Parts: sequence; C-alpha cells; structure tokens
Amino acid sequence: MKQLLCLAVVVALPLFQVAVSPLFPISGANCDFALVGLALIMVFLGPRAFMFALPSTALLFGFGSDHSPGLLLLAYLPLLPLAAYLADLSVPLNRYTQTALASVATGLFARALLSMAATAQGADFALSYTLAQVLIPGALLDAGLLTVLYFPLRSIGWAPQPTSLQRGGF
Amino acid sequence: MLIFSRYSWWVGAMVALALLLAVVGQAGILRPVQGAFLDITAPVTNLLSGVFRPVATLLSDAGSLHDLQDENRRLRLQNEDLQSQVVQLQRDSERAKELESALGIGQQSGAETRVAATIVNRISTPFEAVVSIDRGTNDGIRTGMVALSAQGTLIGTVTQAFSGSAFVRLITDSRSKVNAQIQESKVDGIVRGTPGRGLTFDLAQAEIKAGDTIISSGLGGNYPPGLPIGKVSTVSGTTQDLFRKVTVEPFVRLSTATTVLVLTSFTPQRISLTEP
Repeated sequence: MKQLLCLAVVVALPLFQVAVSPLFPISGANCDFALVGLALIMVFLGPRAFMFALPSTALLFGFGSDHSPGLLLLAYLPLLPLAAYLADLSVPLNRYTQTALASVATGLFARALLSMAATAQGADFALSYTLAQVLIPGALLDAGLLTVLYFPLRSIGWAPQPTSLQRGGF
Repeated sequence: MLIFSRYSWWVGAMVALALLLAVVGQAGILRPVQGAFLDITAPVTNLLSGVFRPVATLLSDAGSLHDLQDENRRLRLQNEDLQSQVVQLQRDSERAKELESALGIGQQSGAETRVAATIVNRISTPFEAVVSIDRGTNDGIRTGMVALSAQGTLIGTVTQAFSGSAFVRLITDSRSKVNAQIQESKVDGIVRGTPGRGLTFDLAQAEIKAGDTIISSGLGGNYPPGLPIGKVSTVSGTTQDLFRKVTVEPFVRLSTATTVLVLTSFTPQRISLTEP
C-alpha cells in the first residue's frame, strides 16, 4: 500500500510542480511542491521510500520542465542527510521542526543551485534580488505548505518514520 | 561533510546518477522518453491548470484591482486612437492597391507560415520563463524557431522540440537576448530578460524616452526585423551615463497568454548554422 502511495505521489509531484506551482507566485518565488512532497515521503514513508522517490521525481520533473534531471537530483539531494543529521544532534527537536529545517535548507540550496545554473547559461546574477525575491519568499512558501500538509497527516494517524535506515528496518 | 556521513554511499550513488543523467541528457538519449512523457501527461497538466487557473486569476486580480482599472482606462483611450489609425490605414491600403493596379505592379506574396499552438504549462522561476506548447516537430516546429503571440508580438524562441510538444523560452527569461531597435529613432540595442521576468533595453546610446516602441532589428539573423516587442516604460540615469537604464513593458502580457504562433517560414541564423 505504501509503495503504491509513494508511486502515486512521485508521479503527481512533477505534474503539480509544472502545472500548478507557477500559477501562485509570491514575489519572485514559487512553492516547491516537489521538495515538500519529498519531505513528506521522507517523514511518513521512511528513508527507503525517499531513496526511490528522489531520483524518480527528479527524472519526471526534469522531463516535464526545461531543467536537467541531473541538476534537480543534486538540488534535492541534501534533504535526507540533513534530516538525519538534525535527528542525531543532541539538541532536542521534534520531527516537524527537523523536517521543516531540513526542507528550508534544501530549498535554499536547490534555488541557489538552479539560479547558478541559469547564470551559467547566460542569465544576469543579482545577489540581492536572489536573496530578497527568491530564496526568502521561497523558503517561507515551502515551510508554509509543509505545515499545512504535515499536521493534517499527523492528525489522521500517520506516524513519522525514523530517518535512520538501521532503525527503519535495514 | 559530517552531514553526509550517514548516507555517504547513497549520496555518492546519487551524484554518480546525476552525472550520468547529465551526460545522457546532453547526448539526447532521453529525448524520445521525454517527448512521450510530455505527450502522455499533457491532458493531466491541462486539467490541473484549468482547475487552478481561475483561482490564481481571481487572487491575482483581487490584488491588483486598482492597477487593472487604470490599465482599462488607458487601454480604452488607446483603443480609440488605434481605431482611428485603422480607418486611416484602410484608406491608405485601398489607395495603394489602386496605384499598384494603375502601375501594373503585381502583389508580392507574403508567404509567412505560422503554426498555432496552445500553451500547456509555464515553467517559471525568477531567472527562467519557459512555456511548453502542444505542437512539435510533427507540425514543422524546430529548435531555434521564433515564437510570436496571437497578435504577432515577439514572445520567444523554441529551445527544445519533440514530436508533439516543444518548449519556448520567453523573451522575459533572463537568459534571452534579442537584437532590437527603437522604431522612432532607429537606435539599435539589445532587449534582455531580467531576473523577475522583466525586460531591459541595453547598450543603446541615444536619447530614449518613455513610450518609444521597441521592435526586433533583425541583426544577427536570429529574428526577422520589425517584430514588435514592447514599449519603453522608464528611462533612468543621467545624460552623463554611457548607457542609461531602460526598462521595457512587453506588448503582450506573457503571464496570461494562451496561444503561441511559431514562425515556421523564417529560418533563424542559429538553425542554418547547424544545418549541413
């Protein structure tokens, strides 16, 4: 059941990212459905599902957009290691905070990487614009969407899975 | 690197896969799969856009009601002005036809073919403004061709073409550059997309004023000359500056355009250079 759900989400994420996300821009940023969806897969379906979902989402998102799938794969790559690192920290953080921090940091990295890729292809790079209009609004949007989706899923009984593969069943 | 220690093997594998995808993508091996994916998902993305677009439009319009009222007032005045110009042009056209027939000049065929396509999706990041369309190589569209709005305004260039779909990079994409000129003064410059999907007119050394019309110059051979692009909206800087900062408002509202005309009869220099 979980595998089917994961597959459905993986197929739906790129479609929402391409068809819906650009319709709701805030400042210069759009919500990153792919990132938030991957974060929710990581939390509720576990790291093994995430390991399958990340390359699949990157590939399909790349197909549906003008982006390189390889670049998208690198852009979202830090999500799981960051979440695992935050879980290992001695600072007590609940799963929502860990996931939100990992998602926001990965979102910043992803947008910065895509901006650098655009610059390499001839776009003008404007640091102040990128910070004020892209990175900060984008991080807020991602955190907002994650919050809106995380708590309803928790309330219907979905339990967060450990970020460790050993504890997760390997 | 401590962050990646737990999943170092997996991160390594993903980086290797990313490199492999980059190489495979450059070689064009994934293109048929991508084309099939776009064909299959087009109805779904169309449906999603159709469902969410009215909501987005409502939110957008509610936030800019005052601007829309101003724009409506301005457009009414402009419409009146254009109506009178149309009447004058019709008279001129009839007069020209009469003179042509009197002088025995045959009418030249303006054999300009355009393929109409519907915008399926918008891939929009602050540095990128790309749309996907529902026509591709099966309809004669090729990478590098010029895309116009339904009214004939320049809106972009085809960057990738598949059998039944294509990607068009809009002129507001910050990677886009178009050789252009001011219609009134014939001053050449370059229209560039800016971060945030705006337009600037760069490298022009002349007196430029708000309201001037920007058209493609045809220099470089990548765009036909005379395609309308937009109007100068602001000019900033002093007369001492070598180049003044000129922002351009596109004639077509690119965020709401739904139809694209691909100019298949014009072969841009970038295509002819790659042909054997």
